[in-house]
Amino acid sequence: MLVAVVGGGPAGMAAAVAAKNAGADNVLLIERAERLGGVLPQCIHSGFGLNYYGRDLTGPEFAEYLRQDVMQSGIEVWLNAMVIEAHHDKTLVVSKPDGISFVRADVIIFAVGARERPRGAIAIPGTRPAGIFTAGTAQYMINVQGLNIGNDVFMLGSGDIGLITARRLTLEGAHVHGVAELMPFPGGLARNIQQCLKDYDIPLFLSHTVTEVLGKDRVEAVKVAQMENGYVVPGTEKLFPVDTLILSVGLLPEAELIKQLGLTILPYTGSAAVDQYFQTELPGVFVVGNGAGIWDLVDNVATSASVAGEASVKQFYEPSQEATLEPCGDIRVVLPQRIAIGVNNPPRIWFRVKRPLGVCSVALTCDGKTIARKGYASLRPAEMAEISLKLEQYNVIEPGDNLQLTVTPL
Amino acid sequence: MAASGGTRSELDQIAKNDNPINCDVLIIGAGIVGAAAFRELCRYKLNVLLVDANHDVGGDASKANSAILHGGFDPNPGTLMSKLNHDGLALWFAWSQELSVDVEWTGSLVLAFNESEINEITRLYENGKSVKIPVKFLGRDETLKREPVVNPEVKASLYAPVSGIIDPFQAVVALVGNGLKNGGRIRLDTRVEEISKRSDGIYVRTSSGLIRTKVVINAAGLYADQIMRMAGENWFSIHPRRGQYMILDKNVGNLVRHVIFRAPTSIGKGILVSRTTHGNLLIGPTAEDLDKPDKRTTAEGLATVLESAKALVPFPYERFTIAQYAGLRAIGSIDDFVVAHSRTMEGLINAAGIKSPGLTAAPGIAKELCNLVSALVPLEEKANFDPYFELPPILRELPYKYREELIKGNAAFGHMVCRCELVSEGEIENALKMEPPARDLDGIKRRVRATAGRCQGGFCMPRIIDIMRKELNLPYENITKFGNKSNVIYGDNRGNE
Ligand SMILES: Cc1cc2nc3c(=O)[nH]c(=O)nc-3n(C[C@H](O)[C@H](O)[C@H](O)COP(=O)(O)OP(=O)(O)OC[C@H]3O[C@@H](n4cnc5c(N)ncnc54)[C@H](O)[C@@H]3O)c2cc1C
Ligand SMILES: Cc1cc2nc3c(=O)[nH]c(=O)nc-3n(C[C@H](O)[C@H](O)[C@H](O)COP(=O)(O)OP(=O)(O)OC[C@H]3O[C@@H](n4cnc5c(N)ncnc54)[C@H](O)[C@@H]3O)c2cc1C
Repeated sequence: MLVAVVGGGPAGMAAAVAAKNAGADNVLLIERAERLGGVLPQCIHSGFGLNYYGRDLTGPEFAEYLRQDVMQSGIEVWLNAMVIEAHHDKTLVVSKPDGISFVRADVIIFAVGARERPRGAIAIPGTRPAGIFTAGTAQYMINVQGLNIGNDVFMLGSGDIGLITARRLTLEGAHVHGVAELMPFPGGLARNIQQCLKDYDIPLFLSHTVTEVLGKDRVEAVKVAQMENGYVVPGTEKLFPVDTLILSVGLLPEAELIKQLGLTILPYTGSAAVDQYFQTELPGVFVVGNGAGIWDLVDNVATSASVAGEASVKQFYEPSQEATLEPCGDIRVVLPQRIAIGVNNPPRIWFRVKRPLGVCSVALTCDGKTIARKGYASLRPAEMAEISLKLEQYNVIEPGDNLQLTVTPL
Repeated sequence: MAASGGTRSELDQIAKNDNPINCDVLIIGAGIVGAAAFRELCRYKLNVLLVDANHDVGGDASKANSAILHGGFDPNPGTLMSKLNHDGLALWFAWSQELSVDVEWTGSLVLAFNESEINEITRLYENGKSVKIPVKFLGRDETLKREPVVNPEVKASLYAPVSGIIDPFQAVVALVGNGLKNGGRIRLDTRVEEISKRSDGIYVRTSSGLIRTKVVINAAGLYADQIMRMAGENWFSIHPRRGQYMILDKNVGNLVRHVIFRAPTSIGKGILVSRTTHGNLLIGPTAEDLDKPDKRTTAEGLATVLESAKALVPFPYERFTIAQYAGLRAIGSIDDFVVAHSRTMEGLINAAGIKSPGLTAAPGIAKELCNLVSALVPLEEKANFDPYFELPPILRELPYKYREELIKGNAAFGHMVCRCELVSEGEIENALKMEPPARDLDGIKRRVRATAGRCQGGFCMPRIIDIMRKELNLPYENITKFGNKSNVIYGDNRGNE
């Protein structure tokens, strides 16, 4: 039996190791970059691994731990190898420096990660000069390539990657003039707002956006204005004389290969619907990590991908034996979106809210009937939260049920 | 810059001290018009030099337009524009094959939603008939049958089967490449600043030295009137008319089969919805008259593009947009192309006011320019002129067998750099090595599409700069997006370089 894992980031490595440990004969890990690790090698800050390894690690350290696990498990690794096509019969076409290879797998686990949303996706008006980078790209150029990409910087978007990049740029000697966030609340964790912005006196402008990029050759300034219901509030426009604009405006799962398999893409995750084992509607095809939906903590990525890796060598569950699950109201995203019935271990449900909430209660319901309920002191859009179902709650669910996840402020 | 043909002081000085570069024909402007003229003139036993102020070929308008090969029913019959549109369209059939330029004959539909628009397409129909273009009137049902996604409010449409789409940048590269192969020369980063006629030729002062030539072809696009003024020719002026666009993800590239236009108004052909030869969807352009060149996109302009596109073909475009840009049309003070000898300086030939359909007409303009040149210098065809040009291979288009062969020859072809457009390191190396070569990030993007996809270079741009550094032996600080001061990086922090 061959398990092919596409993508050697934390999700792919964890899934590959779990598959091998669960008894897969052959596991092939295919990574297009020159090294394993995915985005971790560029995340040189700490805060990784507290759950998965029980210690505070940097991104490169976390990646190295996982890589050691991969190396010790007898997994075949292809580097500089990119999967360029995926076919319904589980054949992968791989482009490598020694030619084109066709891999006929029994199981495919897609662990392809996410891409950042570029300027064009949010249509910021103005000129098209040099000096506009997405936050992850900036992070790569600073931390991996060791380059100075800007002296005077403005940032759009307050997601964690952006916040961390703002601090990093400051430490590298750049002046970060400010961070604008379209929403009335920050996109990143409270911890990062404090440690990356406040501690460095970087102003955060909530309900603001960049309305224009100026500059002929290189960015010369950006216009920033307050927004209300999608419109500029007159008289609030400010000009920031910067040479660099960094965008941290969201990640989108890389879904091109799964689209080739004809799987439907959910609008709210941007990827295929998965069950609690991260299996798609196509038996034997799994999607994990940021490729399945955006996770914030790499620990959760590794944990959940291991579930998929282990399940991939066991039997596949019949699609007829499943219920569906969808987010409602202030719940923005839920994972899984399908629940296989009749398995022994009850599933864990991951979700994310649309706006910050104080004390609240999250309920899993079916036709208005509550199956499970859990209280939270607070929920933030920046954090993925979870509910683990108990066996008796899981056993109530019937094939064909349409389940809903809702949240009620208390 | 104020110098006109009469002011000779400075030039005389330089002419005495400097050794000028000599040529028979100097072409100013490496847009589609200059490039087409370059290719055609390199057929003859002439010393041809092409110059452009930009860091790369491709022109200004020629790389920011709708990329449509217009059917020829729009210009008024009897105008030069009408004739050259016609000639150009026919020549693109042959040229696209000789030069392996991507052209697709998709056909176009001009939609009418009300009485006055029906009158408008009736006028176009009659135009088309009078210049013998195969146009057809379609009723509502037939329109919807051919293009089911258009707004069902449509009343009628004009169908022109012989029109299509082209890759305009690739066309310029191929034309210039073919000219270079046949002995032509090119100088970029070379701005023409002064032109002066003397007994032994025309002297042209540029930002990179003096040129002496017998003939000058002015193909300076939006700035063609400035070149005319340098020769003392003041009867013609140009102003910019901006067109803003949105490019959409390839996932939705197949929304329409034809080029879909709205019935035109007095200032333009209206907003269109079209596929590009790369498979993206294109919507735009606006038509905004400006006092001075300004290529900014604006919130209002982009909103107009969206709204007008939705009125033609309802679709949630905003969800799939990956880039926005603006181009400037060169609107002359007379409503026709000027392709003629200068009225004030013998030896100068102007191709001015080349607005839409200038891209379509370019081969026709080039032939006309050759005619005009023949009145000044004898044209004798080279025995060994090679009309063919092939661009380096694009891997993703090839069958596996051929990709495999390329990879066996150079492992870099197996190493994917741009994941969205599937561009290998080998193709980027080729873009840097080919003639004319890419010298900046935009040059690579336009030649091989790396960074042109849905992530717009987020993943591959840092890797491309590494390849550029290695292949061109450039320090990071000198890598630019499009020449001049468009530097991407300010410095190398590792202290080991
Ligand atoms: C910039 C950034 C900063 C972050 N900071 C933190 C943090 O501080 N703390 C924290 O806990 N989490 C952080 N995260 C989140 C965490 O790193 C991610 O959740 C995690 O890396 C996702 O893992 P992944 O394996 O799904 O994706 P990735 O790490 O993106 O890995 C995907 C891998 O798949 C490969 N791949 C993709 N397509 C193909 C293909 N067709 N063929 C072959 N290979 C392919 C890619 O090259 C890549 O190596 C950060 C994420 C980002 C993007
Ligand atoms: C919005 C828009 C949409 C259009 N759509 C279409 C279409 O769909 N189909 C069609 O057929 N046509 C279309 N056109 C028209 C077509 O794009 C132009 O007619 C054509 O590209 C003009 O080519 P050019 O070579 O004259 O000018 P350009 O491409 O502008 O090139 C002129 C070059 O001259 C150089 N130059 C200028 N001054 C100097 C100087 N002093 N020294 C040195 N170099 C100089 C510039 O740097 C530039 O590279 C469109 C135009 C626009 C703007």
